[in-house]
Amino acid sequence: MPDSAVDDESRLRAALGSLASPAEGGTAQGRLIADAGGTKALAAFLREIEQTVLPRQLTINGGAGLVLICDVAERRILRLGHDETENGLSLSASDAQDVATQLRAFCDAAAEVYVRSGLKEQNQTVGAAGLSVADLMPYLPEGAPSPGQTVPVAAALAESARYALAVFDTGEGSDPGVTGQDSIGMQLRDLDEKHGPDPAHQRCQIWIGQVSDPFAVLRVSLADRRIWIAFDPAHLEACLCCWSHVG
Amino acid sequence: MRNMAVRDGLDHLRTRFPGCSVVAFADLSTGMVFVASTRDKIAQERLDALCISAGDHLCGAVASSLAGGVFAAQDGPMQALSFDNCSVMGFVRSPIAPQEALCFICDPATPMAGLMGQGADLLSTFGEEA
Repeated sequence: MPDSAVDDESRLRAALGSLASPAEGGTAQGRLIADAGGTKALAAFLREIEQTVLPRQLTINGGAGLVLICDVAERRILRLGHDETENGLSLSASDAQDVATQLRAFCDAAAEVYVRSGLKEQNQTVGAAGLSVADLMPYLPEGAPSPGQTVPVAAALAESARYALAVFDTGEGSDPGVTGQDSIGMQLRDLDEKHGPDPAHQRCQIWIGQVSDPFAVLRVSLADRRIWIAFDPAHLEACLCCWSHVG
Repeated sequence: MRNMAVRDGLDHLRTRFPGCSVVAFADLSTGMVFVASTRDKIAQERLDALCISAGDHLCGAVASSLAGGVFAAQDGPMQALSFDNCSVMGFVRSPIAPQEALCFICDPATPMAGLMGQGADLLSTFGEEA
């Protein structure tokens, strides 16, 4: 199951949108993320998890003494407790139903939801498998973000233009073409002529050389189309985000 | 003793990345997994398949085409990945012993650049201990 419940294009759009929006109100309780309980609070909570990659401790305050303390890293809830002094239980996917029940109860009882976020040492998060939003989804009501959304190939190609040095695309029909740097594009075309799609039917593959090598190579094998992209390995994470959800 | 040190290294690396469920130390020349650290129990057949996939990616046909051309090194790629929307497999070749590699199975949200970079560092320490 995908670890992330929203596709990366949507997450990026939401992040950019939040930058353009007025800052959420900051109070002694933290930053206001939902001005109502129920589904709205739940969606805001899940969005916080989805946007937390570095190890952090999130203090979620629902008013009237309602507090959840979550250790989060890589978009996974590692621990969940009700008090800053308790460590909380280490979570894994098998805890999904219990955690979803706690979250629903918390959000149903909350009038509005605030979050405070503090950095957590990496070694304090070691040893916990964690629980992703996608793990929780089967136990949550409608209204939360839906998992499994896919990105169209055209959107992934457009996103790749940010970091691609060259692209060779066999096209959907008989219209192969190179974009970007011609000399690199020709190398990609030669690779396609020699190897075609992956014989083991793997969707996306990346090869990376040494630090001194100028680019890495991505091959995307679709039913009737192949896309080869040369990119700077410094953009590996962007490339993975972009192409892992292509449908 | 070396196996214990390797296992400790694999365990330590895996638990630093919550999205990583398998780290396996493999010999590409024999297609064998020496030691593996797994979050959950995993069938030996799956480890064997992971090792075969490592060989395909780091030493297979595409890797050979890239070696000495697109990539400067005659050994071919130092790292490779295979991924879709459900999982990521990562492979890192030892900078010291090119026939040795680490193989990873991870969730898509795992920061693979960091994981594989630390994997390469770990492989270097295995070489020093050998």
